Amino acid sequence: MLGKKKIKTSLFRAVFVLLAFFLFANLASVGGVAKFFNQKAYAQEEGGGEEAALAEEAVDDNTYKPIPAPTLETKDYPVISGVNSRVAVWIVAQLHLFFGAFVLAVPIFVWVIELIGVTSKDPRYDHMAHEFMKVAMTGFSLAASFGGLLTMLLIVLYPQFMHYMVSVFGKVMIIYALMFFAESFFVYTYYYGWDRMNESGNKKLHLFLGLGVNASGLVLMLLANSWTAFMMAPSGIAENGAFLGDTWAAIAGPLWGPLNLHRFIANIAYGGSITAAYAAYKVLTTKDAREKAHYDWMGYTSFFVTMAGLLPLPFAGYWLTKEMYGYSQQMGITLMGGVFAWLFIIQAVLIGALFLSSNYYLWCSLGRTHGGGRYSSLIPPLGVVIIIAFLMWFTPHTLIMTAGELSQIGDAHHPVLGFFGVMAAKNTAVNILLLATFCSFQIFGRANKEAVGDGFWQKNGTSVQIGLYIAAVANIIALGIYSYYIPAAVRIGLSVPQVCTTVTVLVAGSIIDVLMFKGSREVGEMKWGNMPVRSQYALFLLAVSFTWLMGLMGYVRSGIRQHWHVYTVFRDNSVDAFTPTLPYAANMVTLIVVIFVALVLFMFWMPILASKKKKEAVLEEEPALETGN
Amino acid sequence: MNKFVTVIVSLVVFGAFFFFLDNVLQHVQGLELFPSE
Repeated sequence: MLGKKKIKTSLFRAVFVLLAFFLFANLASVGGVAKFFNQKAYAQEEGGGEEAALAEEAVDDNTYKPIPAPTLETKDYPVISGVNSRVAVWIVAQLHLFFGAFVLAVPIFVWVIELIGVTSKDPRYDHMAHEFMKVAMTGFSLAASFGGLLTMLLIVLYPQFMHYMVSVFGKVMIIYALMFFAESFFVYTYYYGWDRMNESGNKKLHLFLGLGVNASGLVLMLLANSWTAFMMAPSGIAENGAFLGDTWAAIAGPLWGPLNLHRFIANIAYGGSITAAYAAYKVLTTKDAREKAHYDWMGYTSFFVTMAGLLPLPFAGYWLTKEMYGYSQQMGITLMGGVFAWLFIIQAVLIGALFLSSNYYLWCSLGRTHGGGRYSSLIPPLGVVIIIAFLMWFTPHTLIMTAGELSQIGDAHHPVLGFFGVMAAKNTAVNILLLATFCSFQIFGRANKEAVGDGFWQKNGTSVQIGLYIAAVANIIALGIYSYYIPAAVRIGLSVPQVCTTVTVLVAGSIIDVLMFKGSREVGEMKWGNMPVRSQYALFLLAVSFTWLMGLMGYVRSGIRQHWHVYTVFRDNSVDAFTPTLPYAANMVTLIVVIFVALVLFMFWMPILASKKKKEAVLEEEPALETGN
Repeated sequence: MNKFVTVIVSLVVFGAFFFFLDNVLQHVQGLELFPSE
């Protein structure tokens, strides 16, 4: 029996290794991938190029030639009675993105937490990672279902658009579909094989499968991002839109890289916020103190993942916007200074809400610690700073006024508040907001610790950090004030030193914390579960705000193309080729978020349904977390 | 070292660092952020 088992295990291992080698060798071989993509998809004449691709003279062969972007009229768009094409695609595409982002993000931090469990030999991390993955499993089916529905809707409602996109990205779409096999293989073996591989000592193999989940998910995202980026900033095509044959040129357009980075980081932050909401829901609904402690800890871990993603996210967004400006100044100006500018005010309000709820959660977290009371006096001044920064952050430059109000003020801008409506003030405000949030983090991090020893850092670490914060805030504010006095095109360059100042504080502050609290003693055990109910609602606010923000920005990213299917190449002549009003867009996003939340509740319900009995067994095995009751 | 003195020294050191950083970054970006006239 044992011999047969060993043979089976070895066979399975060999198959996994071979498959993984095949997949990774192909993915990792940049030259191979590039060559594959650079193979001409369509037959072209010798020495040909653009002329050959565009040749319209009668060539007596039956080979397929890439089509130019068609010129459509309203009557060319199929209509299904009772269905608004744009609304249908909008809802389904956004829901697909919500679930897609979630299921790409969760395996990233699940893998990291599992690794922490292996290195620290603490089984609680492994159980938590497994539970996060359980929450995400239903999400995979929902993401794929909405993706399939989206494809159908696009084919049915925008057939010429799909024909054109297939002529450019056909090969990519096939690879994308094939990657789902890889993703499914890794996801199912990773999740369902978890306990079995733990018991049989195959943890390394399990971690390897986890890498496979992440690699295949990442490739899926990169491929899909290329279609989105192409629609905004097309590349690899002739002037009439005909594909030139170089698939890599079509994929790697000017916005592809920034979009990849922004979505990768945003996915992590977003995935963390959804799992934090799951944990918050469990904290609120359980009556068992041990379970409450367990889910409070899970909620904090998810929150930490969210913040780790949230802090660098604005800068990835700045890069994306910078590249948009670089590609088309008109697009950039419409985005931030024209029709869509007010959407960024709404975005500012949401981001402010995110930071307020994050800081609030951290302040409530002081209640878990025995030494948190020492720092509670810092909360009111931090709150004031955050609120002032938030107010500056969302103050608009122009006001929506009637003609009468306009003549009373005398200008489109308020004489005082107008100063806060420009990037000089906003960059300053957001950097201060980040510093204040990091300060809240540091306070929570040290609330349960006491530095021990006579070393320099133990005695002077806090004083050094106070000097660091004052210098950083002074630098950021000085740069902000100075930026009012230089031309706008130069002013944007000052955001870089401001960001670098913030990053310096994050890095230096963390290093000093490590040095200060080396060998520190705990003031007392962490009282997991000892959190007020309102703190869990702060986590709900995080998840819902994030979702709404993603929906809003998704609309902006899509709407900025205005009356183009593919910007400046393939015109949108459907009945919906207009920019809707702000209230309409906001209502649409709200509707989509409501549908999403309903489906998320279904997603949360699944693991509860599946594991009622298993729960008690797991909690029995785990070393108990100290509860706060 | 007296804590207040430590704060002042730290403030001066990091202040100098940020000043240096601002000037380096303007050169890196190729922008005349701080004109010398």
